[in-house]
Amino acid sequence: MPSTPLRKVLASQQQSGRKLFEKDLLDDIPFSPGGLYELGLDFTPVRHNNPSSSHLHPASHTGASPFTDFVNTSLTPLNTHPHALPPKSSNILMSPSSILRKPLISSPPLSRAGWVRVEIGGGPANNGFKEINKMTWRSPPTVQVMRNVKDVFKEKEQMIGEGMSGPPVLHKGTGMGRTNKKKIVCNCKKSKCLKLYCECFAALQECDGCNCNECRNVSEFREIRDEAIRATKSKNPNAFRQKINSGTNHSTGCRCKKSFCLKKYCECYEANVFCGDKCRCANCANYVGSTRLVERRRKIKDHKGADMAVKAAEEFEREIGGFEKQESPMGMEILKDLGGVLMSPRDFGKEIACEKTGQDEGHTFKKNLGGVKVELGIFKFLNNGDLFNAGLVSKKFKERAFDEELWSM
Amino acid sequence: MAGMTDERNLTLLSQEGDSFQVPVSIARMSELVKTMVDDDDDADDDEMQEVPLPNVKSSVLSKVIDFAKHHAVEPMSEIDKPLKSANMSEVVQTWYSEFVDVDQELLFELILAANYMDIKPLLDLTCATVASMIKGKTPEEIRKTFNIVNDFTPEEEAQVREENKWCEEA
Repeated sequence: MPSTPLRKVLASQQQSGRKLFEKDLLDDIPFSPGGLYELGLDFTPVRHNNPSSSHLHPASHTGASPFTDFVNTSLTPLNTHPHALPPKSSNILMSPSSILRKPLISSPPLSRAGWVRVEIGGGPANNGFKEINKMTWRSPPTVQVMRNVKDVFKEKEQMIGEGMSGPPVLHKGTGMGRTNKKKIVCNCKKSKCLKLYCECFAALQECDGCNCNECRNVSEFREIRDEAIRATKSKNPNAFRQKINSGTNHSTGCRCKKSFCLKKYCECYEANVFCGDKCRCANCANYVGSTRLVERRRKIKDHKGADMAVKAAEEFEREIGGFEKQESPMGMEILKDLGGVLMSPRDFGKEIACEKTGQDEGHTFKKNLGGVKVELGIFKFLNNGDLFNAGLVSKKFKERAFDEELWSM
Repeated sequence: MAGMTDERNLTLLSQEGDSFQVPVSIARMSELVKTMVDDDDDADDDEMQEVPLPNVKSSVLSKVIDFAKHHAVEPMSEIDKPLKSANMSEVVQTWYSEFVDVDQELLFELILAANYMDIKPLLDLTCATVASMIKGKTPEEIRKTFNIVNDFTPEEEAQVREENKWCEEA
C-alpha cells in the first residue's frame, strides 16, 4: 500500500538518525512511554499492512528498544532547540516534524497515516498533525487542543510530562551529551582532547572554537577519535553517561578529601546535588541540612542553590518529623553515615521473609543477596568479558554487570 | 582489657536458639560481634556475654565459626580481582577452596551471614566463589547454573549486545 516516495522518506529518516518514527503506536496509544512524540510521525499502517517493508527499518533489526530510540534520537532535536521556537507561533513544526511535513501533505499514504491520528483528535489531517506537535511542546495551545482529545491523551500527556522530567528520559536523553544546550569550550593542553579530561570529549562533542592544543577531537581525525572513544568505553562502558541521575544524585559519588564538598572540584556540589551513599568523601559538608552548604552557596551568590538546600533541609525535617529530632546538622551527618550500616540488618530480615514466601523461585540471585553491595561484591571478581556475558543473562544481571560503581572501582 | 578478652569465651546464639561457645578473639572477626562486645564492655566482665544472631541458622553459623577459627591459624590470602581462574583451588588456599565447596543454597546463606555479621574475608571468599561459577560461561550457561529466567526480549538482548560490544572487544 505505501508508495515508493514514502519509503524513501522513511529511509532518509533512518539515515538522519531518527529511527523511532517507524515505531508502532497504534497498538498502544495510551501506554507507550514515548508515544506522544511519535504520534505525529506515525507510520504504523505502513509497517503493519506491509510487513515486507520492514527491511527499511534498520532499527527493528538492531533490536533497539522503542524507549531508548525515543530517548536517543527523537528527544534530541526537541530538546536542543526549544529556545529557537517562537513561543506562540502558529507553526510549531520543528525538526522531526518539519522534515516530514512536506511528504506528509504530498504523499497520500502518509496523510492517511496522519488521518488515523486525526480521527482520534477529531480534526483534519494537517491540523491534527500540527496540534499533536503542539502537544509535544506543551505550549498553551496544547491545553486547547487537549480539550478535544483529552480523554484519549490524558493519560498519555501525563506520561510524557513525567517522561520529560522523569529520571529515565533525562538520564538517557542527556546521557550521551547530545542534548547539552550550553556550548562547551575546553582548554586542553596535553590530552589532544581524546581523554575524559576534555569536557568536549567527555560530552562526545567535537571541539569547536575551543582553546585546545593539537586537538584530535574533530571530524578530520575521525578514525583516531572513534578509536579513542572505543578505548575509553572498553575501560568503562559508562564513561560517557551523565554522572548526575535526574538531578538527584551522583551516580558514582565523589571522592573529595579536602574540599568539604563545598568547592567546584566536588562533582556533587558542582551539579547542585547532595552527596549520597555512593560518595566516599571526607569531612563532607554537602548534605541535607548543612548550614555550611547554604552559607557557601550564598557566599558565591548561588542563591538558587542555597534556596534549594534550605528547602531540602526543611523537607527532610518535616519527613523525619519528631521521630529523629537530632540536633542538626551534626545529627544528620551521622544519620547519613550510618545509613548503610543501619540498613543491612533490616534488609537482611526482609531477605529471609522473601525466601520463605518465594520458594518456588529457587534461591540465589532471585532474592536480594543482602543488597546491591553484595551483588557487586560478586561481580567485582569478574573481568570485562565475563561481565559482558553476565550482562546478557537477565535484566537484573545487566543492571549489576554494567553498574557504574563497579566499573569505577 | 584487650589482653584479657582473648582468654574469654562468648556465646553466639543462632536463629534456632542454639548456643555456640567461641573465644572472643575469634568471634571478633565479625565486625557486628566486635561492635556489640565493645559496646558492652561496661557490663560485668565475669558474666559470659551472649550475642544473638537471629538471622543466622545453626548450620550456617557453625560454618562461619569454622571459617573464623581456621582464619586465626592460616589467614586467607587476598583473592585477585579479576579472578585468574574459575577453579577456586587455584585462587585461594586449599582449606578455603574446600570450605566453599558446598551446595549453592548454603553458599548463598554464607554470603548473607558474612554480610550480616560483617566478616570481610568470608564475604570475599564466598562472593569470589559465586563469581567463579560465572567466569568463563556463556549467558545461557550462567542462567542454567543459577536457575535464572531470561527476561530479555530478543530485541532487548540484541540491544545490550550492541550497547556493550566495547566491553566484549576489550
